[in-house]
Amino acid sequence: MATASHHQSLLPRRRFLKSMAKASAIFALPHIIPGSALGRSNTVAPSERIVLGGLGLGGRGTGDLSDFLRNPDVQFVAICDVRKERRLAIKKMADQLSGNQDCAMYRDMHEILGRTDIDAMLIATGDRWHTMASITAARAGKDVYCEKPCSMTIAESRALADTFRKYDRIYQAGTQRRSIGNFIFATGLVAAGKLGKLHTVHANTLPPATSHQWLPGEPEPAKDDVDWDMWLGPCPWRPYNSQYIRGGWRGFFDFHGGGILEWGAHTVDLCQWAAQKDHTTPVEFVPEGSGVHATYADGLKLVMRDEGWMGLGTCSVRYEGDEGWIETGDSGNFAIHPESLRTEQTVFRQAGTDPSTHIRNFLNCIKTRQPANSNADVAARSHVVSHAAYIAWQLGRTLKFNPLTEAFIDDDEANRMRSRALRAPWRL
Amino acid sequence: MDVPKLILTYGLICFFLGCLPASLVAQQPPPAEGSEEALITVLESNASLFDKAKACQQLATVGTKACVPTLVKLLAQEQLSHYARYALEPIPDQSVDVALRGALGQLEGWHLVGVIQSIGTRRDVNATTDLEKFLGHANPEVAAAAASALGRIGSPSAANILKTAMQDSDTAGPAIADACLTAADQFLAKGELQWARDLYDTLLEADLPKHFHIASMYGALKCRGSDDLKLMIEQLQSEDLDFFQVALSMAYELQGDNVTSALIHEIPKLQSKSEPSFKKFVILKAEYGADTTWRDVTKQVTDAVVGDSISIAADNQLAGDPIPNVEKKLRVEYTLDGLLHTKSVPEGMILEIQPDPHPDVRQALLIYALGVRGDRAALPAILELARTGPAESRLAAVRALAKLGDVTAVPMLLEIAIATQGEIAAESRTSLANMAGEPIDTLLSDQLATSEGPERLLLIELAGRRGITTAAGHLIQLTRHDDPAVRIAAMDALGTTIQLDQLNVLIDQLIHPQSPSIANAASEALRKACLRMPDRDACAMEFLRRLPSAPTDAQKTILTLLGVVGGPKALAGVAAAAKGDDSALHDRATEVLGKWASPDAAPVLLELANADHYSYRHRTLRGYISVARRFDYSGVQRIAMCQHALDAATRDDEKKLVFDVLKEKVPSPESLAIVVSYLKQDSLKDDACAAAVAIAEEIAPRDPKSAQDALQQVLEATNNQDITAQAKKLLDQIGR
Repeated sequence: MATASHHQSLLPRRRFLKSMAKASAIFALPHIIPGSALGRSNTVAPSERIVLGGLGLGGRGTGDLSDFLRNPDVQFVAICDVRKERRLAIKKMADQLSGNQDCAMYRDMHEILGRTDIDAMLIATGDRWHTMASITAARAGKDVYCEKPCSMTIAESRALADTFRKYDRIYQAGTQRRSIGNFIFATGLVAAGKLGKLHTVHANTLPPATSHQWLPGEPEPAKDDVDWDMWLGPCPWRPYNSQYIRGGWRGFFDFHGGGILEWGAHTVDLCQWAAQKDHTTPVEFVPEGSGVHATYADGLKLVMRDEGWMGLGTCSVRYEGDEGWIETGDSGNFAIHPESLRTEQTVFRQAGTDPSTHIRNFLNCIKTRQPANSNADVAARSHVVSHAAYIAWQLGRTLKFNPLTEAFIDDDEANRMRSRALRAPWRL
Repeated sequence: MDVPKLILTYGLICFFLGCLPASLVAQQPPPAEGSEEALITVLESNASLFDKAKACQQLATVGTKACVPTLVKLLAQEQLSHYARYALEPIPDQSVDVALRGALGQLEGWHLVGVIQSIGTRRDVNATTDLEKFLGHANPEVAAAAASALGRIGSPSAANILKTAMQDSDTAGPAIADACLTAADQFLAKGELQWARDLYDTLLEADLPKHFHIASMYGALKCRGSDDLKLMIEQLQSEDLDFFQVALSMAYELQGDNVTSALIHEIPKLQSKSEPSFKKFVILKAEYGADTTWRDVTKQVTDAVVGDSISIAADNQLAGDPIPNVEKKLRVEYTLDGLLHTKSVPEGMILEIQPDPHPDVRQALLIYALGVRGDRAALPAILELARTGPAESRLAAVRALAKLGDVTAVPMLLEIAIATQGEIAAESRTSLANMAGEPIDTLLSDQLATSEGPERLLLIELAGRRGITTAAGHLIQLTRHDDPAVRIAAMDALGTTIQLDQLNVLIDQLIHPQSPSIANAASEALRKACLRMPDRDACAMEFLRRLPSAPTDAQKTILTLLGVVGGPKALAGVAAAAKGDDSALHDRATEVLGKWASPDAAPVLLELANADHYSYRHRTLRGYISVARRFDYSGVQRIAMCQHALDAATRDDEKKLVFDVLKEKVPSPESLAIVVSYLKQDSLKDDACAAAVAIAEEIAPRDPKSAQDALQQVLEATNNQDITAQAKKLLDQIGR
């Protein structure tokens, strides 16, 4: 079967740069088709909108929801959360905006996913739930916008991509920098050959370490207030401690993928994109201090590091070719060499943390069925890279990797770290 | 990034870092270390749940068949069953498969579900017969797990079991359907298309929720690929938008001229069968004439409207001959559903306005997909739709031209952009701005030289949006045009087209503006231009040469622009202004220095912070501290900068900012010593104590002595209960 690539690498160089430089404007189209004309066939009347449900919306999720609701073709109808206070907070926010009391609340994910009127889900739970919730939503026929990181393991990454392909559902990872002007521009600069032959890409990551400890047990709250078993979901059981549910789950191995994944979900993903490696991964991972240096089959280096950045904002990336380099970050500013490349610059005002353009891309893709900017395939690949890097860093040794099988070569111990058994009844 | 976003981002980082468990400077080894034998001993002892759980997690990476019997015994235990599977699942030994199969008959409930899942994860092809027995299990979770496991195994034997179960009303349902999809997907990936197709067809015939049929249809289309488009075409013709959208998904994926041809062929068929109608059709104005002589025929044209349509001849019978011996036109301005349109026909022709068919989103979506495919073979069809298509499709075609269009599309898009209003006009402008190709730049630039009126304004805008540098000369001329709108538009376009040797044109407009709006336009254009100038120092010199003679307001703007330019010359110029005699510039110059985009502003910031009686010394000190925080320095360099900042600081809030940098960016014994030296200053001691505890927590694993010493001093210095509790807790941890 002949399949079209979604890369634009076949375009002439100059044309590519121009189109990429303007891509943010294209992606930012407010509506591909007027929303009033494009409701899903079973939900057209009366709203003719994309009907949205929310799952696990805390601080980041509430921000995402606010951005979703700025789009007039979105109707938010229900929230599901294992924490009562969050259910109530989201309902209050949604009802105030809609002027009614219609936002339904659920504690059990299966109930909200069973609603046939809901087209799409916004998922912003803790990391441990991202893959499981996304997959379960796809199996229920929903399109999904899910916060990063998208997975906890290599196996989860693969299952995520497979499931969304299997069900022909739209998936958008919350790696919004793929829809933000300065990062799009930097990618375009590489693709246009303005840096010459690319030899190294750098991704800003955080210190990788996690803990295997348990916090001291505390009495479990009433199930309706906090459903601890559901909070744990597919993760290994441990005694309840209120710190976990207040955000203190970060840094614990069972719940968190570590610092490489924490920012690598964004920055490694950007490097994969810029290097046109969305279809593959590096073939070697070498731990270096608090980071990992990786190499692709064609010799391109991917440096994941937490130090040595130029102060251009969080989640910085740097692309180096044999004729020049560019570094950019969440400030929207650049450093470019040689200076002559400054002629390619333009003004970017959107911060790297702003998901609004990315969300609009997702909504448009629900209607056009075009793969979203951070679709499950590209998200899975870049997450596999971060997971593989973290495994190499934990083992403290160089690992060889086969991108086709997503398995380490001749390293049984590393291969066994590619997945974790899930607690029943949760399954990929 | 605006300030609130910056604060938010920084806050998120601090939140993340703050939430990390203590002392994670290196990966913690799993608590249960040792040989496999030692770990088995733990599992068979009266060790705590935690110890056994961690032993299992460690066995997941080091266990062999030796530990399997011990682990299997845990499968029935309430809190260890999952941990046992955690260990067993990745062990690469067939004894695990045998053991898991053997456990099936001895477990129930969640434990049974879990073991079935593990069998599925391990893709144990020898388990299909065992799993089949559970498909009709009374516990639906057990049945669903068995189905899922069979799907993951995905062998021909498993596929046959699932297909049979799908055809049996007792077992058919979403779980079996999901498993069939999983198996089919694997066959498809392996190129075993007949197996895949058989399963997809089975699902399409089954009574299932719609989304399973959508998924199955998608798989069925993938099996057929670009060689057999019949089923895909059928879906494109479906009145059900969901199935149409499945075909649309394939339209993005399938390559080939035959696919493009087939898609183009389908476009005209995607017309709604519903009755066409306008909600509101209003003639606003109609005129008949030529050149500057026009006769109002609005009433005559309005009277000719029948229902939603009009058909009227453009001739002298409308209202006589307004201008003899000249070919005339009938032009009509009207609205459809509130959107303004214009149409004109030459004398002797019939002006017809017919209602478009009811908007059909399928046609528009297919046009969009053709645009995304980027196959130029679709260009003629897209151009025709942009000219004559129904409103929704016309809009989609105009958008598709952004990707597909070439120079032949330009005249039509210009006409649409000028002659219409609303969304389609805006999209035409956007497509004109985004279409790739040097010939388009040349055409637009040439046309700009001879254009006027609305067309000129549009071409100016396009020159700017496309960055047509060859148009800069003409744009410069237009900055002196009589019409202020043209002047401002030209300046805006120069921001993205002007070259270094032309920069003075905009600087002139900044220094000697004809109005405040011209000054603003010049400033904004220069800001864009500054980012693009290839030689920063040369650009800075252009500004610095004009700075001394400029009025104060323009001087301030130039200082801001020098901050955008960056580089050594710009920095020297701003520094000179900050230190100079003209105090009116100190405010702006220090503001610019405080936000300088590279660390080389640090020395001048520190110099000004140490200058006695300098009005902005506090601002410059904060700028210096910000540099120490924002940019990449070695620990030694950063600590030295913090010490310099503390030496220059005269206010407590400034010293607290330094404590934050030490705590967050360089937690080290040296930083700790600096912070501890402030423990006895009453107004600072709480903040110093808090910083000391935070730093001590970070360094304790590698330098417990320094941490302990500092914590003891904290306990002596503070009365704050929270800090005391934290310090005691940390001392206790270090002591253990």
